[in-house]
Amino acid sequence: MVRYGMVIDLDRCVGCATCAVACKAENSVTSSTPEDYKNRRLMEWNRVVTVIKGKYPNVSGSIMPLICNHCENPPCVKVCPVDATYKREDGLVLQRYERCIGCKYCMVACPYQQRFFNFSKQEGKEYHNPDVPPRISGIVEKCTFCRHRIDKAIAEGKKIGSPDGVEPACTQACPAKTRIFGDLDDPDSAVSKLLRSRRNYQLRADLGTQPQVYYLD
Amino acid sequence: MEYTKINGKSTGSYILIGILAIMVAVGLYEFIQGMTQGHESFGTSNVVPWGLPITSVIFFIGASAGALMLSSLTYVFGKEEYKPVSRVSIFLAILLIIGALTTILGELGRPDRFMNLFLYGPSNLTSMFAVNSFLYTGYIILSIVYLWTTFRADLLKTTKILAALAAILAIFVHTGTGAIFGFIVAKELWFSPLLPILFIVAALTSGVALLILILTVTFKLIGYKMDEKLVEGLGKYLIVFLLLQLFLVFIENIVRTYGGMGGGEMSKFLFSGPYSFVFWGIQIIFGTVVPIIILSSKKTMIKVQIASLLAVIGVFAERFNLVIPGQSVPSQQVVGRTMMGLYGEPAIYSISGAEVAIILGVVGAIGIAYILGLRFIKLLPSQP
Repeated sequence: MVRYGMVIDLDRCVGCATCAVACKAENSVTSSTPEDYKNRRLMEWNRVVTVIKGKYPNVSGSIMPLICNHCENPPCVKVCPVDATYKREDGLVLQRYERCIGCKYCMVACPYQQRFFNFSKQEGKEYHNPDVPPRISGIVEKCTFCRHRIDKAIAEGKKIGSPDGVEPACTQACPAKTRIFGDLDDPDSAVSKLLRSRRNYQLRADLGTQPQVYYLD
Repeated sequence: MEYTKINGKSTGSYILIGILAIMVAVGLYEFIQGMTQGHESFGTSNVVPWGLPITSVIFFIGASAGALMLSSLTYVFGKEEYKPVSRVSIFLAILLIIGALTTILGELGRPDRFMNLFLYGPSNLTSMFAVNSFLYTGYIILSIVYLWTTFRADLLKTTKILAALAAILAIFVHTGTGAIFGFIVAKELWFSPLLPILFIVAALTSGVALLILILTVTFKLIGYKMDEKLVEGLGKYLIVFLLLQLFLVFIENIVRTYGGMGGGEMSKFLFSGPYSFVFWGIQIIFGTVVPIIILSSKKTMIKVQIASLLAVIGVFAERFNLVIPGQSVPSQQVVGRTMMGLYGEPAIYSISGAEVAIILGVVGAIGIAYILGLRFIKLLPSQP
């Protein structure tokens, strides 16, 4: 079995947000305005935040890129009333845009806020990547682990996974090699080796979602 | 027991229908705007995706379930003194649940695809929305059949069976509605096994209170005499439900304050955040404690009416406090570490005109259907 996952090495992250830009371009994620920022309507499948611990002067912070965790036990899939969001056999949590009714139940169920509602009309807006299906207003969209790249690689018989195979756009774009993508079920993959050798954690593992994105720090 | 239609041909009733029709037209306009242009004019965001429409949906469903359970007083528990209002309460229950489902349509991003619920719903029955869409449909059909049998004196036994079934289904419908929220592990204020029970109690409170208000106002408008004993009797039920509701809210919040799952940020936000006046002021003091005090003195018609109005506002505030502050605080990603900047801050939901218009449109439609229903169906008790 194949089970795709990602390891993010926070020791390497410099917080440049190249991954966020690469994701926007690759997945034709609609542009946002300062108004959208104020209204908390940003479309950012990939975002880089700073988390802080403690109070001044005893305070430490770290930069953290956040993407969809492609959970083993995804709350968003459980709640979808029209079966629009589903977990693919290889571990990807995907969304059928043509079926979504926009009830936003998945958005409230996701503990990671990794689902985004299309508030405005998308039709007139320019889309760059022809491999990615366009989205219309009134539906929910999310990170796909660049499924179009993975599907293409499978069709062409190419290797998938870091360091020398096909990777999602964010992983490929990272200048510090912070992200490592690959098959968690393959003991020889780079992700499995890293998880065996380094101490790691998942985001909000206490909620029982079993995220497939691991953090090292 | 004889029932009668109202005349409903006075100028006043046509003016009322006209005002309600304007509300429907404005709501319809906003609904079409939202459908064609996207939800840009709504107050919702990616942090608070559910706004005021969902608040009123659960309020309407609650009032509907409460009204239907109340009609079982007559047909299941044999309290004949409530028979004059049981037929109209079934009718109101049907209108309110249909109103609730219409409000959901106004809230959906793609209302044109709502049939997907029935096409693909059965393939994902872990979703409370999918389960509920079937529960609600069954509930509407059963209530209509139940209402019809009350017109047939020869079907009294069937009516009694249907009344019991309808009351049970109403409990399940509202348990399902509570479970929409109660199953969501991501939200500290929602994830609770007590929530479906609180929903049922709040349903009874709002159902009784709304029924008292609507019936007394209707009787006043058409010049019928309301039986004061009946209203005072309903007031007795209201105080019991209010006390139960206060108790459940207390238990739930004391557990949250004691335990504080997920960092306790969301409870702190509810108790002392920008919405805390809705919680303490409107829900607890004006919506629960004051009506309890009013009802615990000697009941008169006017006192019960005031208490009912406050209780309805209180239950609506209770729904609001669940839906909006429940979503406002972004959940922590790593427990014990806060996100810097806007990402970690609570999102403030501002009520938008478009959402209010859609809700008022539904209220207007319910009002028109109610007036026409009284005119064409024998729902009200005839006067001696």
